[in-house]
Amino acid sequence: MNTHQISADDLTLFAMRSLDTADDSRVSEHLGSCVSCRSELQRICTDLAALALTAPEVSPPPRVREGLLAEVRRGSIHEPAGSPRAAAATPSRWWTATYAGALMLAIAAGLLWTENARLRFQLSSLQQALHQEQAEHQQEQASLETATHVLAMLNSRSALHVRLMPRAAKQEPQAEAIYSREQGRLLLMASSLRSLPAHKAYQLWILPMKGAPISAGMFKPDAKGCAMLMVPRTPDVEAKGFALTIEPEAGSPAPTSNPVLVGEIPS
Amino acid sequence: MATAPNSELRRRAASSASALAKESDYRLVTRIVHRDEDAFGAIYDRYSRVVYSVVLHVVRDAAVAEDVLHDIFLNLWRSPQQFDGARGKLAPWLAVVARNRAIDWLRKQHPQEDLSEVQLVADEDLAGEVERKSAIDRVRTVLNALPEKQRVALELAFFRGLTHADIAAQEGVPLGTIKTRIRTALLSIRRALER
Repeated sequence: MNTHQISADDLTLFAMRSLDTADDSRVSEHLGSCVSCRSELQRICTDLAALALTAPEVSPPPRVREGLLAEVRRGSIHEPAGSPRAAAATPSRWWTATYAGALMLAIAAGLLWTENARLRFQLSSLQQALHQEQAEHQQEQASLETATHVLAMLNSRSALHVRLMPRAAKQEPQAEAIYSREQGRLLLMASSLRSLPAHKAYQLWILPMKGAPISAGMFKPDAKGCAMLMVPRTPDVEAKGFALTIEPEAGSPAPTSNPVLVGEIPS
Repeated sequence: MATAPNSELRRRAASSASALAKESDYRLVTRIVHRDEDAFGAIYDRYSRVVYSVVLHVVRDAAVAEDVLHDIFLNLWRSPQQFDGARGKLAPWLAVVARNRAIDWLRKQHPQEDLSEVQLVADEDLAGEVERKSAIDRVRTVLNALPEKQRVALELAFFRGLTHADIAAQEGVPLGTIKTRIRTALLSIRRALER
């Protein structure tokens, strides 16, 4: 069981699609605003994948592959064999031999020009696809790296979990900071944060045992008020807690407003 | 003499297939996005057995399993971007999709699930074939060692597609008991994966 109104039991049944419609909607709605439940749901899905993979292995008959690939090929776009361009290149029989010869040369030149243009276009398309693929690959690598760090933090036994709560009675915004001094990383998962004007952003602070707060990063929540911030390299200081303030978008060297959320590491 | 070019073509085709077989899932899916039929064939060859096995285990009808297998891969061809490589590996993702599609068929529902909703953590144990086989062996061992009531509840919910209310009625126990049995059994699987 977790501390939410959604239990881990219900999350498990949700992942299996075994809840009735009302409960399914309730869990689905909650997931929209809860980072930690979404994270647990991913873990449950991974457990379920392992369970699914225990099914006895059987090979499908080859006809499924043949049918599937035939269908895929039917859906592909192919250049028609007899294109209008080719038909238009046929000389009319009532032209004189001289004019026909000249026309043939002109057609040949035209075809060469067309082929040249087609190859240039093909080259340009390939270059574009290559650049796109390289960009996607880099983005994918960055996402994988972040995911690996997040996973290491979540699985770390030495990482400290600190829940940041509002100081006022109203308890809607919340966040959890996971801090590993050993790994030099800090992960913040927040939900129900209020949206900010364009020129403002949230700033995360490390509160050291001695000295002024140290900025750990800036972020803006998504449309649902959720946010996740991974700080890959934290200063090597002994922290007593963490705080979240609203600052100008470019960040502040020191907090300029009262903390929205604050949490202390239990001693 | 006429067989020489054919033999050359066969050699090239075999060489191309061999190169594709070494490509990563991510590269192959990217090529599918760009409508590469050979890459699609390579992904099918790599994972159709996994998908078919899961579907067949749920629906227990070879003809139905073939249809569901066909639909799953056709969906992958049409919308390959629904697989998010940063959020898990292809084999476990396809296994969950296969199970859900098969359950849809059991319940006679039209599939409505958006495939991108199935998101996993990037578990390396389920990524490569060798690691996957080792992880599956550990999970099978844990399943066999589970208390009978937990194993039955998990089996009925996951592979038979029964709701927890159905299982509670069938077993004659409160809803909460069934929830706990399923959750506890699943946590045992998680521990087996973490070993």
